[in-house]
Amino acid sequence: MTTLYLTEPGTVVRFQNEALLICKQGQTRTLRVAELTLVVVLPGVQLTSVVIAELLDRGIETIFLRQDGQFRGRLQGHFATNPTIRLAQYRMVETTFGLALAHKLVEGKVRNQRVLLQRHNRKTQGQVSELVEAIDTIAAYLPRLHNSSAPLSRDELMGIEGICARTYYQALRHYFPAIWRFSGRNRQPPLDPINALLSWGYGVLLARVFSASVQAGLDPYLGFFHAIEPYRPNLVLDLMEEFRPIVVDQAVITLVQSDVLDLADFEPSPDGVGIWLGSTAKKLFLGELEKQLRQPLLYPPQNRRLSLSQILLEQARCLGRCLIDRGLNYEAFVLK
Amino acid sequence: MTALWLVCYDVTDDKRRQRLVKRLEQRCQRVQYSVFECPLDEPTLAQLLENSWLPVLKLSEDSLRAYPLDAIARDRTKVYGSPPPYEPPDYIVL
Repeated sequence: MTTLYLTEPGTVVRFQNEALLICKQGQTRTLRVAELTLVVVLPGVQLTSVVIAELLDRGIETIFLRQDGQFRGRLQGHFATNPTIRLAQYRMVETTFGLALAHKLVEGKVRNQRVLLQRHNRKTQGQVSELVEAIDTIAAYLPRLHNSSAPLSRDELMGIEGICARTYYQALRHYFPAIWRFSGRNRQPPLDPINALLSWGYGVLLARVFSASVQAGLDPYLGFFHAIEPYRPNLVLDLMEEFRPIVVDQAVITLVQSDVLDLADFEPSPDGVGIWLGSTAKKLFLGELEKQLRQPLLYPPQNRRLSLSQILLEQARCLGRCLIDRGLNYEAFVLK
Repeated sequence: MTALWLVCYDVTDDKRRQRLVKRLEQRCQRVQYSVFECPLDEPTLAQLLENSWLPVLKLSEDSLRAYPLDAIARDRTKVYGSPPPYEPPDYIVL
Protein backbone atom coordinates (compact mmCIF):
# COMPACT_ATOMS: atom_id res chain seq x y z
CA MET A 1 0.00 0.00 0.00
CA THR A 2 1.16 3.45 -0.85
CA THR A 3 2.52 6.33 1.20
CA LEU A 4 2.15 9.68 -0.53
CA TYR A 5 4.47 12.56 0.30
CA LEU A 6 3.40 15.98 -0.99
CA THR A 7 6.44 18.22 -0.70
CA GLU A 8 6.12 20.96 -3.31
CA PRO A 9 4.50 24.29 -2.52
CA GLY A 10 1.90 25.15 -5.12
CA THR A 11 0.64 21.58 -5.43
CA VAL A 12 -3.16 21.35 -5.54
CA VAL A 13 -4.90 18.07 -4.74
CA ARG A 14 -8.44 17.39 -5.92
CA PHE A 15 -10.73 14.40 -5.72
CA GLN A 16 -12.20 12.82 -8.83
CA ASN A 17 -13.65 9.40 -9.52
CA GLU A 18 -12.25 7.81 -6.33
CA ALA A 19 -8.78 9.13 -7.06
CA LEU A 20 -6.61 12.05 -6.03
CA LEU A 21 -5.71 14.41 -8.85
CA ILE A 22 -2.40 15.94 -7.92
CA CYS A 23 -1.58 19.04 -9.98
CA LYS A 24 1.73 20.83 -9.83
CA GLN A 25 3.39 23.04 -12.37
CA GLY A 26 0.83 22.17 -15.04
CA GLN A 27 1.35 18.43 -14.61
CA THR A 28 -1.36 16.18 -13.22
CA ARG A 29 -0.99 12.79 -11.65
CA THR A 30 -3.75 10.51 -10.41
CA LEU A 31 -3.59 8.13 -7.52
CA ARG A 32 -6.42 5.84 -6.48
CA VAL A 33 -7.55 6.52 -2.94
CA ALA A 34 -8.13 2.81 -2.33
CA GLU A 35 -4.39 2.22 -2.59
CA LEU A 36 -3.39 4.94 -0.12
CA THR A 37 -2.56 4.29 3.52
CA LEU A 38 -0.71 7.43 4.55
CA VAL A 39 -0.41 10.99 3.26
CA VAL A 40 2.32 13.35 4.48
CA VAL A 41 1.76 17.00 3.61
CA LEU A 42 4.37 19.75 3.66
CA PRO A 43 3.56 23.47 3.76
CA GLY A 44 2.18 25.12 0.66
CA VAL A 45 0.17 22.12 -0.53
CA GLN A 46 -3.53 22.70 -0.99
CA LEU A 47 -6.09 19.97 -0.35
CA THR A 48 -9.67 20.68 -1.41
CA SER A 49 -12.40 20.24 1.19
CA VAL A 50 -13.60 17.15 -0.68
CA VAL A 51 -10.15 15.59 -0.38
CA ILE A 52 -10.04 16.33 3.35
CA ALA A 53 -13.50 14.85 3.81
CA GLU A 54 -12.54 11.68 1.92
CA LEU A 55 -9.33 11.25 3.90
CA LEU A 56 -11.24 11.65 7.16
CA ASP A 57 -14.09 9.34 6.19
CA ARG A 58 -11.77 6.61 4.97
CA GLY A 59 -9.50 6.88 7.98
CA ILE A 60 -6.43 7.49 5.83
CA GLU A 61 -3.74 8.78 8.14
CA THR A 62 -2.83 12.32 7.06
CA ILE A 63 0.07 14.12 8.67
CA PHE A 64 1.11 17.75 8.28
CA LEU A 65 4.72 18.81 8.77
CA ARG A 66 6.32 22.22 9.13
CA GLN A 67 8.97 23.57 6.78
CA ASP A 68 11.71 22.37 9.15
CA GLY A 69 10.28 18.84 9.24
CA GLN A 70 8.68 19.22 12.67
CA PHE A 71 5.25 17.70 13.30
CA ARG A 72 2.43 20.18 12.86
CA GLY A 73 -0.62 17.97 13.28
CA ARG A 74 -2.79 15.31 11.73
CA LEU A 75 -6.30 14.75 10.48
CA GLN A 76 -8.39 12.93 13.04
CA GLY A 77 -11.77 11.53 12.12
CA HIS A 78 -13.83 9.32 14.36
CA PHE A 79 -11.70 6.71 15.99
CA ALA A 80 -12.16 3.73 18.22
CA THR A 81 -10.43 4.81 21.38
CA ASN A 82 -10.18 2.63 24.42
CA PRO A 83 -10.71 4.51 27.70
CA THR A 84 -9.36 1.54 29.66
CA ILE A 85 -5.92 2.02 28.14
CA ARG A 86 -5.88 5.76 28.81
CA LEU A 87 -6.97 5.33 32.36
CA ALA A 88 -4.27 2.73 32.96
CA GLN A 89 -1.75 5.10 31.40
CA TYR A 90 -2.73 7.94 33.74
CA ARG A 91 -2.58 5.65 36.77
CA MET A 92 0.86 4.37 35.84
CA VAL A 93 2.63 7.74 35.76
CA GLU A 94 4.78 8.42 38.81
CA THR A 95 4.77 4.75 39.80
CA THR A 96 7.71 2.36 39.95
CA PHE A 97 6.17 0.49 37.03
CA GLY A 98 6.20 3.72 35.03
CA LEU A 99 9.81 4.31 35.95
CA ALA A 100 10.73 0.75 35.00
CA LEU A 101 9.12 1.41 31.64
CA ALA A 102 11.24 4.54 31.22
CA HIS A 103 14.32 2.37 31.87
CA LYS A 104 13.33 -0.01 29.09
CA LEU A 105 12.74 2.81 26.63
CA VAL A 106 16.10 4.42 27.31
CA GLU A 107 17.87 1.09 27.26
CA GLY A 108 16.32 0.30 23.89
CA LYS A 109 17.58 3.54 22.42
CA VAL A 110 21.08 3.22 23.85
CA ARG A 111 21.40 -0.38 22.67
CA ASN A 112 20.33 0.55 19.16
CA GLN A 113 22.75 3.47 19.12
CA ARG A 114 25.50 1.08 20.08
CA VAL A 115 24.46 -1.35 17.33
CA LEU A 116 24.94 1.39 14.73
CA LEU A 117 28.41 2.19 16.02
CA GLN A 118 29.28 -1.51 16.05
CA ARG A 119 28.24 -1.86 12.43
CA HIS A 120 30.72 0.81 11.44
CA ASN A 121 33.32 -0.65 13.74
CA ARG A 122 33.05 -4.00 11.99
CA LYS A 123 33.35 -2.32 8.63
CA THR A 124 36.49 -0.46 9.65
CA GLN A 125 37.74 -3.63 11.38
CA GLY A 126 38.17 -1.95 14.72
CA GLN A 127 40.81 0.44 13.46
CA VAL A 128 39.15 3.64 14.65
CA SER A 129 40.08 3.70 18.30
CA GLU A 130 37.61 6.46 19.24
CA LEU A 131 34.82 4.33 17.84
CA VAL A 132 35.91 1.34 19.93
CA GLU A 133 36.12 3.57 23.01
CA ALA A 134 32.64 4.96 22.44
CA ILE A 135 31.21 1.45 22.06
CA ASP A 136 32.88 0.41 25.33
CA THR A 137 31.71 3.54 27.15
CA ILE A 138 28.13 2.90 26.18
CA ALA A 139 28.46 -0.78 27.10
CA ALA A 140 29.64 0.24 30.56
CA TYR A 141 26.40 2.10 31.21
CA LEU A 142 24.05 -0.57 29.89
CA PRO A 143 24.01 -2.80 33.02
CA ARG A 144 22.88 0.16 35.13
CA LEU A 145 19.90 0.66 32.86
CA HIS A 146 19.14 -3.02 33.00
CA ASN A 147 19.46 -3.55 36.75
CA SER A 148 15.87 -3.88 37.92
CA SER A 149 16.73 -4.46 41.60
CA ALA A 150 18.23 -0.96 41.93
CA PRO A 151 16.30 1.30 39.55
CA LEU A 152 17.66 4.76 38.85
CA SER A 153 15.77 7.90 39.66
CA ARG A 154 14.47 9.86 36.72
CA ASP A 155 17.31 12.37 37.06
CA GLU A 156 19.93 9.64 37.09
CA LEU A 157 18.26 8.04 34.09
CA MET A 158 18.36 11.34 32.20
CA GLY A 159 22.01 11.74 33.14
CA ILE A 160 23.00 8.37 31.73
CA GLU A 161 20.90 8.90 28.65
CA GLY A 162 22.66 12.23 28.10
CA ILE A 163 26.16 10.80 28.47
CA CYS A 164 25.42 7.91 26.12
CA ALA A 165 23.84 10.23 23.57
CA ARG A 166 26.81 12.58 23.57
CA THR A 167 29.24 9.69 23.23
CA TYR A 168 27.17 8.21 20.45
CA TYR A 169 26.77 11.35 18.37
CA GLN A 170 30.45 12.19 18.65
CA ALA A 171 31.35 8.70 17.49
CA LEU A 172 28.82 8.90 14.67
CA ARG A 173 31.04 11.41 12.88
CA HIS A 174 33.27 8.56 11.72
CA TYR A 175 30.46 7.61 9.37
CA PHE A 176 30.58 10.91 7.53
CA PRO A 177 33.29 12.39 5.29
CA ALA A 178 34.93 15.54 6.67
CA ILE A 179 33.26 17.92 4.22
CA TRP A 180 30.01 17.47 6.15
CA ARG A 181 31.55 19.13 9.21
CA PHE A 182 29.66 16.93 11.63
CA SER A 183 31.16 16.79 15.11
CA GLY A 184 28.19 15.98 17.32
CA ARG A 185 24.57 16.74 17.80
CA ASN A 186 23.21 20.27 17.77
CA ARG A 187 19.70 21.45 17.14
CA GLN A 188 17.24 24.32 17.33
CA PRO A 189 18.54 25.23 14.87
CA PRO A 190 20.80 22.52 13.40
CA LEU A 191 24.12 24.05 12.36
CA ASP A 192 25.36 21.59 9.75
CA PRO A 193 23.73 19.44 7.05
CA ILE A 194 23.93 16.17 9.00
CA ASN A 195 22.22 17.73 12.01
CA ALA A 196 19.65 19.26 9.67
CA LEU A 197 18.90 15.78 8.30
CA LEU A 198 18.72 14.29 11.79
CA SER A 199 16.32 16.98 13.02
CA TRP A 200 14.17 16.65 9.95
CA GLY A 201 14.08 12.89 10.24
CA TYR A 202 13.17 12.96 13.93
CA GLY A 203 10.29 15.26 13.04
CA VAL A 204 8.98 12.80 10.47
CA LEU A 205 9.47 9.86 12.86
CA LEU A 206 7.65 11.76 15.59
CA ALA A 207 4.69 12.25 13.28
CA ARG A 208 4.58 8.51 12.50
CA VAL A 209 4.90 7.46 16.14
CA PHE A 210 2.23 10.00 17.10
CA SER A 211 -0.18 8.24 14.72
CA ALA A 212 0.81 4.84 16.11
CA SER A 213 0.17 5.97 19.71
CA VAL A 214 -3.27 7.27 18.85
CA GLN A 215 -4.06 4.08 16.92
CA ALA A 216 -3.01 2.04 19.93
CA GLY A 217 -5.45 3.99 22.12
CA LEU A 218 -2.77 5.84 24.10
CA ASP A 219 -2.63 9.49 25.13
CA PRO A 220 0.30 10.95 23.15
CA TYR A 221 0.93 13.71 25.69
CA LEU A 222 1.47 11.74 28.88
CA GLY A 223 4.77 9.90 29.02
CA PHE A 224 6.97 7.87 31.35
CA PHE A 225 10.50 8.96 30.61
CA HIS A 226 9.81 12.42 29.27
CA ALA A 227 6.80 12.27 31.61
CA ILE A 228 4.72 15.38 31.92
CA GLU A 229 6.49 18.28 30.27
CA PRO A 230 3.72 20.63 29.18
CA TYR A 231 2.93 21.18 25.49
CA ARG A 232 5.02 18.23 24.36
CA PRO A 233 3.82 14.84 23.12
CA ASN A 234 5.75 13.12 25.91
CA LEU A 235 4.60 9.55 25.23
CA VAL A 236 5.49 9.91 21.56
CA LEU A 237 8.96 11.11 22.52
CA ASP A 238 9.24 8.06 24.78
CA LEU A 239 8.07 5.55 22.22
CA MET A 240 10.23 6.89 19.43
CA GLU A 241 13.47 6.64 21.41
CA GLU A 242 14.32 3.09 20.39
CA PHE A 243 13.53 3.89 16.75
CA ARG A 244 15.61 7.06 16.38
CA PRO A 245 18.88 5.27 15.60
CA ILE A 246 17.49 2.45 13.46
CA VAL A 247 15.11 4.54 11.39
CA VAL A 248 16.43 8.09 11.19
CA ASP A 249 20.16 7.82 11.90
CA GLN A 250 20.43 4.79 9.63
CA ALA A 251 18.57 6.62 6.85
CA VAL A 252 20.94 9.60 7.16
CA ILE A 253 23.97 7.31 7.04
CA THR A 254 22.67 5.40 4.00
CA LEU A 255 21.76 8.60 2.18
CA VAL A 256 25.11 10.28 2.78
CA GLN A 257 27.03 7.14 1.88
CA SER A 258 25.11 6.73 -1.34
CA ASP A 259 26.74 9.98 -2.47
CA VAL A 260 23.67 11.52 -4.05
CA LEU A 261 23.64 14.60 -1.81
CA ASP A 262 26.08 17.45 -1.75
CA LEU A 263 26.39 20.65 0.23
CA ALA A 264 24.45 22.60 -2.41
CA ASP A 265 21.33 20.61 -1.50
CA PHE A 266 21.17 22.52 1.78
CA GLU A 267 20.39 26.16 2.42
CA PRO A 268 20.58 28.59 5.34
CA SER A 269 17.42 28.79 7.43
CA PRO A 270 15.46 32.04 7.06
CA ASP A 271 17.00 33.52 10.23
CA GLY A 272 20.46 32.80 8.79
CA VAL A 273 21.61 30.86 11.85
CA GLY A 274 20.84 27.27 11.00
CA ILE A 275 20.85 24.95 8.02
CA TRP A 276 17.79 23.61 6.23
CA LEU A 277 17.19 20.93 3.65
CA GLY A 278 16.57 22.13 0.12
CA SER A 279 13.79 20.57 -1.89
CA THR A 280 15.94 17.86 -3.52
CA ALA A 281 17.40 16.87 -0.17
CA LYS A 282 13.89 16.63 1.28
CA LYS A 283 12.66 14.37 -1.49
CA LEU A 284 15.67 12.08 -1.39
CA PHE A 285 15.60 11.89 2.39
CA LEU A 286 11.88 11.13 2.56
CA GLY A 287 12.44 8.32 0.07
CA GLU A 288 15.27 6.93 2.18
CA LEU A 289 13.26 7.17 5.41
CA GLU A 290 10.41 5.36 3.74
CA LYS A 291 12.79 2.61 2.60
CA GLN A 292 13.97 2.17 6.18
CA LEU A 293 10.41 2.04 7.46
CA ARG A 294 9.43 -0.54 4.84
CA GLN A 295 12.35 -2.78 5.64
CA PRO A 296 11.14 -6.16 6.91
CA LEU A 297 12.79 -7.30 10.13
CA LEU A 298 12.21 -10.18 12.49
CA TYR A 299 9.90 -9.03 15.28
CA PRO A 300 10.71 -11.48 18.11
CA PRO A 301 7.52 -11.10 20.21
CA GLN A 302 5.50 -12.41 17.28
CA ASN A 303 8.28 -14.38 15.65
CA ARG A 304 7.54 -13.06 12.17
CA ARG A 305 8.92 -10.51 9.82
CA LEU A 306 7.27 -7.09 9.90
CA SER A 307 8.13 -3.76 8.38
CA LEU A 308 9.58 -1.21 10.80
CA SER A 309 6.47 0.94 10.41
CA GLN A 310 4.37 -2.05 11.48
CA ILE A 311 6.76 -2.70 14.38
CA LEU A 312 6.24 0.92 15.53
CA LEU A 313 2.54 0.22 15.83
CA GLU A 314 3.02 -3.18 17.46
CA GLN A 315 5.31 -1.65 20.08
CA ALA A 316 2.69 1.00 20.87
CA ARG A 317 0.02 -1.70 21.18
CA CYS A 318 2.32 -3.76 23.36
CA LEU A 319 2.82 -0.77 25.65
CA GLY A 320 -0.96 -0.39 25.91
CA ARG A 321 -1.33 -4.05 26.90
CA CYS A 322 1.45 -3.76 29.48
CA LEU A 323 -0.32 -0.82 31.10
CA ILE A 324 -3.49 -2.82 31.53
CA ASP A 325 -1.95 -6.15 32.45
CA ARG A 326 0.86 -5.77 34.98
CA GLY A 327 1.92 -9.36 34.36
CA LEU A 328 3.28 -8.35 30.94
CA ASN A 329 6.59 -6.70 30.34
CA TYR A 330 7.47 -4.10 27.74
CA GLU A 331 10.60 -4.96 25.80
CA ALA A 332 12.20 -2.43 23.51
CA PHE A 333 12.80 -3.44 19.90
CA VAL A 334 16.54 -3.91 19.64
CA LEU A 335 18.52 -4.70 16.51
CA LYS A 336 20.87 -7.62 16.66
CA MET B 1 -5.16 -12.27 0.36
CA THR B 2 -4.76 -9.64 -2.31
CA ALA B 3 -4.26 -11.07 -5.75
CA LEU B 4 -3.88 -9.26 -9.01
CA TRP B 5 -7.03 -9.68 -11.06
CA LEU B 6 -7.02 -9.32 -14.78
CA VAL B 7 -10.35 -7.87 -15.83
CA CYS B 8 -11.41 -7.52 -19.44
CA TYR B 9 -14.67 -6.70 -21.12
CA ASP B 10 -16.62 -6.67 -24.33
CA VAL B 11 -19.30 -4.01 -24.33
CA THR B 12 -21.30 -3.22 -27.46
CA ASP B 13 -22.91 0.05 -26.39
CA ASP B 14 -20.65 3.07 -26.06
CA LYS B 15 -22.50 4.64 -23.18
CA ARG B 16 -22.44 1.48 -21.09
CA ARG B 17 -18.78 1.00 -21.95
CA GLN B 18 -17.90 4.47 -20.72
CA ARG B 19 -19.79 3.97 -17.49
CA LEU B 20 -18.07 0.66 -16.87
CA VAL B 21 -14.63 2.12 -17.62
CA LYS B 22 -15.20 4.96 -15.19
CA ARG B 23 -16.08 2.49 -12.45
CA LEU B 24 -13.21 0.16 -13.25
CA GLU B 25 -10.78 3.04 -13.10
CA GLN B 26 -11.80 3.66 -9.50
CA ARG B 27 -10.03 0.50 -8.39
CA CYS B 28 -8.03 -0.81 -11.34
CA GLN B 29 -5.14 0.12 -13.55
CA ARG B 30 -5.98 0.30 -17.23
CA VAL B 31 -3.32 -1.62 -19.17
CA GLN B 32 -5.00 -1.86 -22.58
CA TYR B 33 -8.19 -0.38 -23.97
CA SER B 34 -10.43 -3.11 -22.60
CA VAL B 35 -8.04 -4.75 -20.12
CA PHE B 36 -7.54 -3.75 -16.49
CA GLU B 37 -5.31 -5.02 -13.70
CA CYS B 38 -6.72 -4.80 -10.20
CA PRO B 39 -4.92 -5.49 -6.91
CA LEU B 40 -7.90 -6.76 -4.89
CA ASP B 41 -8.81 -9.47 -2.46
CA GLU B 42 -11.57 -11.80 -3.60
CA PRO B 43 -14.40 -10.51 -1.34
CA THR B 44 -13.73 -6.96 -2.50
CA LEU B 45 -13.76 -8.09 -6.09
CA ALA B 46 -17.04 -9.92 -5.60
CA GLN B 47 -18.54 -6.85 -3.99
CA LEU B 48 -17.37 -4.55 -6.77
CA LEU B 49 -18.68 -6.92 -9.43
CA GLU B 50 -22.06 -7.16 -7.80
CA ASN B 51 -22.54 -3.55 -6.72
CA SER B 52 -20.60 -1.50 -9.17
CA TRP B 53 -19.50 -3.16 -12.37
CA LEU B 54 -22.19 -5.63 -13.43
CA PRO B 55 -25.17 -3.30 -12.81
CA VAL B 56 -24.14 -1.08 -15.72
CA LEU B 57 -23.86 -4.00 -18.17
CA LYS B 58 -26.45 -5.74 -20.26
CA LEU B 59 -25.27 -9.31 -19.97
CA SER B 60 -27.23 -10.50 -22.99
CA GLU B 61 -24.97 -8.34 -25.13
CA ASP B 62 -21.91 -7.57 -22.99
CA SER B 63 -19.43 -9.70 -21.13
CA LEU B 64 -16.83 -9.24 -18.45
CA ARG B 65 -14.16 -11.68 -17.29
CA ALA B 66 -11.86 -11.59 -14.28
CA TYR B 67 -8.85 -13.90 -14.01
CA PRO B 68 -6.78 -14.20 -10.86
CA LEU B 69 -3.03 -13.79 -11.21
CA ASP B 70 -1.35 -15.22 -8.13
CA ALA B 71 2.29 -14.41 -7.43
CA ILE B 72 3.47 -17.31 -9.60
CA ALA B 73 1.24 -16.41 -12.53
CA ARG B 74 2.22 -12.77 -12.21
CA ASP B 75 5.93 -13.56 -12.31
CA ARG B 76 5.44 -15.77 -15.37
CA THR B 77 3.37 -13.17 -17.20
CA LYS B 78 4.93 -12.02 -20.44
CA VAL B 79 4.42 -8.40 -21.37
CA TYR B 80 5.66 -6.62 -24.49
CA GLY B 81 5.40 -2.96 -25.31
CA SER B 82 3.85 -1.75 -22.04
CA PRO B 83 4.67 -1.64 -18.32
CA PRO B 84 4.92 -4.91 -16.33
CA PRO B 85 1.89 -6.17 -14.33
CA TYR B 86 0.55 -3.47 -12.06
CA GLU B 87 1.72 -3.17 -8.49
CA PRO B 88 0.83 -0.19 -6.29
CA PRO B 89 4.02 1.75 -5.50
CA ASP B 90 5.33 1.59 -1.91
CA TYR B 91 5.70 5.32 -1.74
CA ILE B 92 5.56 8.39 -3.92
CA VAL B 93 7.44 11.59 -3.17
CA LEU B 94 5.98 14.48 -5.16
